[in-house]
Amino acid sequence: MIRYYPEKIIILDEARIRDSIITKNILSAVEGKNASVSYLGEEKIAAIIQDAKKPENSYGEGKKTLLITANRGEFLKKCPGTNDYICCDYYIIDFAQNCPMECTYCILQAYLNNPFMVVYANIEDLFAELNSRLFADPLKKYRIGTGEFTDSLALEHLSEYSKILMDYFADKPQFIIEFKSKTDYVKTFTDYAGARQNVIISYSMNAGNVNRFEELKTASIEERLIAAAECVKAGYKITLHFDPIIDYDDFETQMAETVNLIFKYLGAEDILYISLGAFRFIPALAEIIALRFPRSRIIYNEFVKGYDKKSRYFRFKREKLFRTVINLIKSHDVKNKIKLYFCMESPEMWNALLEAAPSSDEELGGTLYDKCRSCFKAI
Amino acid sequence: MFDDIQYQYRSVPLSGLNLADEDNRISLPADYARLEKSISETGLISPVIVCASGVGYKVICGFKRLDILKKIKPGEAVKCLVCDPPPPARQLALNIAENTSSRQLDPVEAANALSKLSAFYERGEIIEKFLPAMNIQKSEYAYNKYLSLTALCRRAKEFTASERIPLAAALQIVKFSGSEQEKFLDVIEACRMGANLINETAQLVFETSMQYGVCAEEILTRAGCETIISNSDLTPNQKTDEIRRALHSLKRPMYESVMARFKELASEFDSRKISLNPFAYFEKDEISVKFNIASVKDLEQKIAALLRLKDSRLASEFLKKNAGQAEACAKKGTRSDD
Repeated sequence: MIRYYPEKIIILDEARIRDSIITKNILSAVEGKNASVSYLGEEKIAAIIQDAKKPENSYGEGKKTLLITANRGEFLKKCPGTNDYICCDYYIIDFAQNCPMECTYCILQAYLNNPFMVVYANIEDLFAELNSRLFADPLKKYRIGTGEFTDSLALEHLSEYSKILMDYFADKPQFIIEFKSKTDYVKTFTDYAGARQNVIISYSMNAGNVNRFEELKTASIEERLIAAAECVKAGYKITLHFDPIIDYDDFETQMAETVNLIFKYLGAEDILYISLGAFRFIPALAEIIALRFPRSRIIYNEFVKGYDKKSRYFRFKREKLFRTVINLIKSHDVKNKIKLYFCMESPEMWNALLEAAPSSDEELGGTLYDKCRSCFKAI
Repeated sequence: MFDDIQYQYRSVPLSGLNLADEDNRISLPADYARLEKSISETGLISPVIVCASGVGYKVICGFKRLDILKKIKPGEAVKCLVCDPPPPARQLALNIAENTSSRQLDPVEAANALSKLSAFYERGEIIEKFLPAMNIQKSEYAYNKYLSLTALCRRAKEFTASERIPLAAALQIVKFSGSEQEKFLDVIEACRMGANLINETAQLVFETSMQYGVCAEEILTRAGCETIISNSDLTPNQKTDEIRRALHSLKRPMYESVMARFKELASEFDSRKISLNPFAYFEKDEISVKFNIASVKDLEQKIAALLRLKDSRLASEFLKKNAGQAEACAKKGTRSDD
């Protein structure tokens, strides 16, 4: 897969950003790549962002600019859930925003209000916040990811943010850190010399044709799995996310090929858990998909409005899609080593297809955490 | 912008105007009843703008007025403002400016204007200069949206220009082929649909065609539209209902089939005694039961119906996973019937 290099880099002109290890890593990585670099104040940057938002092609064009700035808000956020669906009590480190890859279904297109690639370089603030918040509740079973507002590894070859986070968490084994990606970037993990007893490398999975036609500029499913296998070889555990599962042409065959590929490269014992989530979207995203990807047919299907006001497949369609994927996985994982769970599904779906529905988000989060801890102990 | 153009006022016979030259025309030749009434009653108030061209005159502004004069006063001279021929791009710009100074262009005129302007100007310049003048949002999205309407078939253009079809629907049906557009127009005419229904139907046909990966014509065929609209026993409202029902069934086949099954099983109960409905979109394994009680005897009947419901096929199929829910509730420490 082709790695992202920005055409333009804008750096917030503050000492802590200029001198940040993140900024230094990025500038060193783009040497010889012809990227223009400018140092600007906050007001000027705000004006540039405002200007860049105007044209309709800002979604694609904006990504050519990498903005290195400060996160003025919270770094650690809880993954937002909805009361009527069961969530996995996940936490996110908001270290960067936007993604150079072009998945047609990506919610970031509707969610972000800044078209640039953004990296937050004020890592001292990040660590200070993590130190004060993570230890506040010693009983809290934290599973923390970085792949919510961006892909965890899309900029790793530039910033080495994940490596810096691994260093931070290396002596805090009680916290589980997950790097979720659609890339095949592994250097950070294979080169890493420190402890890895709380690190999960996670890959997004989908049917082959969905990957080819709806996940543009990403690594292929096989490339991701080859990367996952390298991580396993280097001593890491893997998690997989089938999200969004999309009702697509030739669904069963294409999904079977993906699941076969998974078990070609990974053993069931290498995979801690697999999450399953069906495609869902807000109306604003549908408009953007229709505009940016007029050939994509993913927004035209048998959708209903969910409790969260998002469009989602009719319940029995979701059930059919999930059942296919679950049966495929179970046909390889006959000893049920891999924990399966739903992302944002109703208790009815759990009861129909998996074990009894968890009674709370914390219960599911705790189960997943415990599964990780027990496997890490075994390493 | 056009201050430098010098005009001379002249009366020119219609035959002296080159009406076949439509380089500057943006309006659709059509019936403009209001304008026709006004001209026939009060005559031509605003002169048309023309420029010398060969032996006659080329029309810059006033095509609609000339259409009407040709129809109602073919022998009369036309009040004209005559100027030296400006460059073609300026002629077109002048026509657009003259039209937009007094009214909003209809969507088809806007589409024609943008299409003709694109022969002279870059897209960015059109968006910056001309869209605001046409009272259209200054954006590439709006530009593409209006420009796409040039692909409407003649009849669809007429419908759109006369507001018989709302813009939103025109933007959907322009994605259909010419013959599909004609078929769609046949449907909305036969059903005498209003604006909202036209919008809904156009969107349904487009979305369903995308859903199945087939053309719009195939969707109209699958929905049986031709048979429905040619059924003389049906009123336009009934035709509309039939078509909507058929299109919705195509759009959500799984829901329709589950709902049909629910209704079939629910029909074992007298709906006048207890009314049974599923949870919205069957998202939960719950059945809503509604009844009113007027007397003790009535109550006994309802209780009997409820007892029958307990052992019914409806309960066994649509409440079947309640055991799982009960377990989950027990885990939570709540009662399943809370």
